[in-house]
Amino acid sequence: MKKITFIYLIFCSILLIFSCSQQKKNEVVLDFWQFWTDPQVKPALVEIIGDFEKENPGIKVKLTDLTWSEGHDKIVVAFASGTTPDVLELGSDWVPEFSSEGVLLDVPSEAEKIQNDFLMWEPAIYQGKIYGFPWVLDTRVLFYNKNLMKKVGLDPEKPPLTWDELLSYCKKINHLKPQAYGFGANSAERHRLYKKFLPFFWGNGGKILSDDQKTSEINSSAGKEALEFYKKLAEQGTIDNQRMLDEGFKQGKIGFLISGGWLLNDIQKNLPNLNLGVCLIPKPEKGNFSSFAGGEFLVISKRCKNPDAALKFVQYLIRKDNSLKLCKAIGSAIPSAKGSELDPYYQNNKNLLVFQEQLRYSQTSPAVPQWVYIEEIIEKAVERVMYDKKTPSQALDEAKMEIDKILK
Amino acid sequence: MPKPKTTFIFLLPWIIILLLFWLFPLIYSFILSFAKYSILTGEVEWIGLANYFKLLQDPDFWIALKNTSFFVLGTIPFTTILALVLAILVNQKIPLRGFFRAGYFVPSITSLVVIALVFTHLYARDGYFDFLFKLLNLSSPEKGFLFSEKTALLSIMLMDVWVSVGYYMLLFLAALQAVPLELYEISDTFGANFWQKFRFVTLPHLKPMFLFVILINTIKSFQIFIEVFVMTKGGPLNSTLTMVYLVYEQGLHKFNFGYASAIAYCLFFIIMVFSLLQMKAFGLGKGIED
Repeated sequence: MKKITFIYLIFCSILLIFSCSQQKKNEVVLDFWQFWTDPQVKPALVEIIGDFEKENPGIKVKLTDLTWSEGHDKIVVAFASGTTPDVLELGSDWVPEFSSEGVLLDVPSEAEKIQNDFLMWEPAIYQGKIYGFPWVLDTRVLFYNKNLMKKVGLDPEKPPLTWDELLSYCKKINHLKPQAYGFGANSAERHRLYKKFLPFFWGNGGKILSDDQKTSEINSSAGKEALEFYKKLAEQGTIDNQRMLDEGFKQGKIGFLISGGWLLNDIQKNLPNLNLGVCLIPKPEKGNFSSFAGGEFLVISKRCKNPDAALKFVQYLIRKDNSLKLCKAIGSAIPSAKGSELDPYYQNNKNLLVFQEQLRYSQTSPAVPQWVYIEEIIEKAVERVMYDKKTPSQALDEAKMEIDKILK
Repeated sequence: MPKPKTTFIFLLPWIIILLLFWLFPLIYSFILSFAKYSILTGEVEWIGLANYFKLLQDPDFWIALKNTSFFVLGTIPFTTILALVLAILVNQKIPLRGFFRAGYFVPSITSLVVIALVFTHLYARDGYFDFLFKLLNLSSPEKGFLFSEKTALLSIMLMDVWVSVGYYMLLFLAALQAVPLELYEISDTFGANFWQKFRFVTLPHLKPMFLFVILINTIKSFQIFIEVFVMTKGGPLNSTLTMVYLVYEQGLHKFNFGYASAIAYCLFFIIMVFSLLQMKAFGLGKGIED
């Protein structure tokens, strides 16, 4: 009796193994890891992939979902253990990390042909080679609460254009505290703060690295001025982490906040009555508009067995009509394909047009593999200034020295 | 008596898990701590003790060590004493005893991430603690509890005491109930008061449990990570940077697996020394008679 049960179990497990590995011959399966798990977004992606499979019989795509909180760790572990997917989505600031390690497929000849049709290639370029494709872009803009502006006697239809205006508006609203705060400043939450400081830094003409990326130029007078201004701005408001700031803005307690598309989506979907305004991040008197841009990139693993199929798939995903379809489902994102702003979807939504405009003035973090360290050094400098431990000049001089040491 | 072979087969699942997920990583990370290991490409470069020397010169490491030690030394006395007091209280015949017992224990079985998220709100600039401080006419930190360098770590410590006290209360409660009732009866006939009974009957019987509670709590507290990860990410100004958080940053953000392993082993060594000292101080193996 025992034996029969045992044999039966073995039989079952063999059956299971065979049923799993049953696969049509000549069929290419692409393993695709991605982050769009939102129930509003994923169906759009599944639909796009379904169309791709119909157009390309013989190629099947297997989707694996990742989350932002642990996706990065999972990808690292996958590369370490050799179980990498064929195609994967990476945040723009992650791409250099992987491209510099030589684990991604470089695609120069393929990419060159289509390079002019898409925005934001910089993060994918490492030592002259291209390691990924820009897919969906996002940037940070200034969110403001029109009701709070009205309350302190400001014209809600005239958002601040310059640093001075922004600062004085924040001051006025900050008088309402604790009912409301002027500016929502990011705390030293890692991997966030620099994205909020850099728009001011870049707008004032600051440069983190020299053109040859060998030394740092962060301690220029333009940079110090920007940091001084950021400190003043933070004093006219509240300091918190991004989650709590977004929450505070949604509760109508924060006048001005630099945030991204996720907040616009959230408000449009869940709080249509919040009197929200969106504008470009103000520029200094004699400077330019600027912001931090990020985006989703599609990369192909070096271990991919069918690079041709993978390339075909990636190029299909980033095609204007397909990425537009995805971006509409996301709500606030912008396709990397040029000319997408002409789509009526963007033309009919004032707030989204601001995102489109801001993107033209936006920069990405320099694509150097040491960026994680540089990012931390910048954040520490800003933090020390915000907590009155250092003057902007001291903090940035020190930061330059530390960055130079890392670049060596 | 079952045959040794059968016993082994039944133990096998556990042994496999032990080897695969516990012993192997343990040894592997020790080996890695002597190497520069690029996790993405799998290249290993042996550098001897360089990681450990680097550690001694890394200001972040010393800050993390200081913060972690402060956390451990600051929370354990409070947690232990509070747990004992609560255990004695819920051991009395008080109304709603079951409710209190369960109530104090609930935080221990609640997800720490959820607790940390809730406390983030409680500690916020206009949160509950802020309100409480204002009510008592105390000055609360201007930037909020978690964003002021002086209060951030203390706030996490307070939360941690609240979270862990229930579990240790339960352990003490078990030990209290194991004290033979006759001893109390005898003390009564000699006319001992409550304090005398506690000092000469209860406390000696609790000694092994004391050691266990402090030991477990030390090991657990040295590994503090989730609270920091959810609430402060090591900030502001590194005031909540702890050892395990440093390991996480070095390992999974900067890919310095060798260096991260070296930090982890340093932590292991510190915990081991602490545990040995504590065992010595309590006289491990000796009974309650002496």
